[in-house]
Amino acid sequence: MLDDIILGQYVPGDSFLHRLDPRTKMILSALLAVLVFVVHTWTGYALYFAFTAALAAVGRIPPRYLARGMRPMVFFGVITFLFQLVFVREGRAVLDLWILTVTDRGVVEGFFMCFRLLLVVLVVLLFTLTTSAVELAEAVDRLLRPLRRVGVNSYDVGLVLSGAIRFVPTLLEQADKVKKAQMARGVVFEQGNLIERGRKVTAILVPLLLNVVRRADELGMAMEARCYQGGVGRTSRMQLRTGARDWVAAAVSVAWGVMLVWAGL
Amino acid sequence: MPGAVPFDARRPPASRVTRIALGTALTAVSAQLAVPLPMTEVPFTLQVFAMLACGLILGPAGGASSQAVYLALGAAGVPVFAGLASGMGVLLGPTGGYLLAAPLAAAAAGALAGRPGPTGYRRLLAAALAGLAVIYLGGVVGLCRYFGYGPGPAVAQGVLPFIGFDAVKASLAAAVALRVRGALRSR
Repeated sequence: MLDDIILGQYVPGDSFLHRLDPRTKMILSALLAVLVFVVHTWTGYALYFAFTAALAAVGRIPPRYLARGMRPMVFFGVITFLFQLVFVREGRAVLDLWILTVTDRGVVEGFFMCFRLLLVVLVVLLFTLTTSAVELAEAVDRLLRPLRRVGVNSYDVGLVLSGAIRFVPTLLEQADKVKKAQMARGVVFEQGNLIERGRKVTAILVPLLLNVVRRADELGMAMEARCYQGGVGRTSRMQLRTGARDWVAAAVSVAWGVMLVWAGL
Repeated sequence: MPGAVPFDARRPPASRVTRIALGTALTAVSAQLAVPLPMTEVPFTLQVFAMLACGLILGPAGGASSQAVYLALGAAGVPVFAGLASGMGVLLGPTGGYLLAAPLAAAAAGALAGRPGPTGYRRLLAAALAGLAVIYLGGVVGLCRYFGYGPGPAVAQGVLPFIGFDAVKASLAAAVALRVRGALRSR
C-alpha cells in the first residue's frame, strides 16, 4: 500500500505522451473525461475506446499496466451494474425473483454505465501512467497560480500535496509504534465487542495523532527557520515547457471531441 | 540582494500548512485501513472518521482544505481513494457524491465544534454527526445524479445500510478530537 501511494502508477518512458507538458496532459485528460459523459451512443463509445487505445499505443503503455490500474474500479463497476439491474423498470422482464424484476433494458443500461466508467478511468490512467509525482505536483502548483488573486496560495497547495505524500510513511510508522507500545501495556486488540474495540482504537488514535501533529509542527518550525514565506520569490528545479507537441496533442484531442459532439454520438 | 523577500507578518505559521498536509495524509491512509469486525464482512474503513476528525481538530478552513487537497490528489491520479483507486472516474462515478461532500462536511464539523481548545464531548459529537449528515446529503445527491432516480431508493441504498457504523465512527471522531484538542491547547 505504501509503495502504491508514494510511487503512484508511473511507468517511466520516453514516448510522445511522456514528453508532453504535464499541464497539457492534465487539462486534456480532464476534458476527455468530461466528454465521456456527453457521448451517449454505443457507436460513440466504440470510437472513444478506439481513441484511448490509440493513445495508449502512442504512449507505449503495456496493456497489463492498464489492467492493473483498472482493478480497483471493478468494485465500482459491479455496484453500477447491480444498481441498473435493480432500478431500471422499463423493458421486457427477463428474470423475476419475488420483488426483484430484471428487465432487458436494465441489463443493457448496466453494461452501458459500466463501459462509461471504464472509459473515464482509462483516459485518466493514460495521464497517471505517463506522469511522475514530481511533475504532477509542479503541474498543480502552476495551474493553481491564477487562484492567488482570490487568496489561495498555490505554493502552499503544492506543499500540502507533496507534504501529504511525505506524511503517509510517517503515519504508518508512528501507528505501528503506538500499537506496539499499547500491546506492551497489555492491550489485546483482537478481543472484545464493538464498544471495547472502539475504546482500544481510541487508545491508538489519540497518542498517534498527538505524535504526528507534533511532527507536523516541527516541520513547520524548521521551514520557518529556513525562511519559508509561502514560496514568494522561490524558483523551481523543474521547468515546465509547452512546445509544438503540446499544441498538436491539444488540437487533435479538441478536434476529436468536437467531431464526436457534432456527429451527435 | 535581488530576490530578497520582505517578511510578511500576516502569513499564518508554516505549521498550519503542514498540519493540513497531515490531515490529507490521515484521510488517504484511513481510506485503506480496514479494522476487522467480529460478526460482519463489511470492511470498517476509517475514512469517515478521518474526514470528521480533520474538521474537528483543524477547524473549518483547515479541515476543508485538507479534504479538498485529498480530492485533488485522488482526481489527479494518486491512488488515495478506498481500495487504492484514483482518478476522476471515482469522483464522477456513483459514490463520488460522498467524497465531494468531504470538504463541506469537514467545514461544517469544524465550524460547529467552535474555536480550538477544550470543548464538551456532546458539542463535538453533535458537530461530527452534522458533518456525517453533510456526507450523506452529498452521497444521496451523487447517487440520484448518476443513476437518475428519486431520493427514496438512493437513501435506501446509500444511507440506511451504513448509518449504524458511521454513527460509531462519528462518535469515535468526537472522542478522539476531544482529547487531541485538549492536549494541543495545553501545549
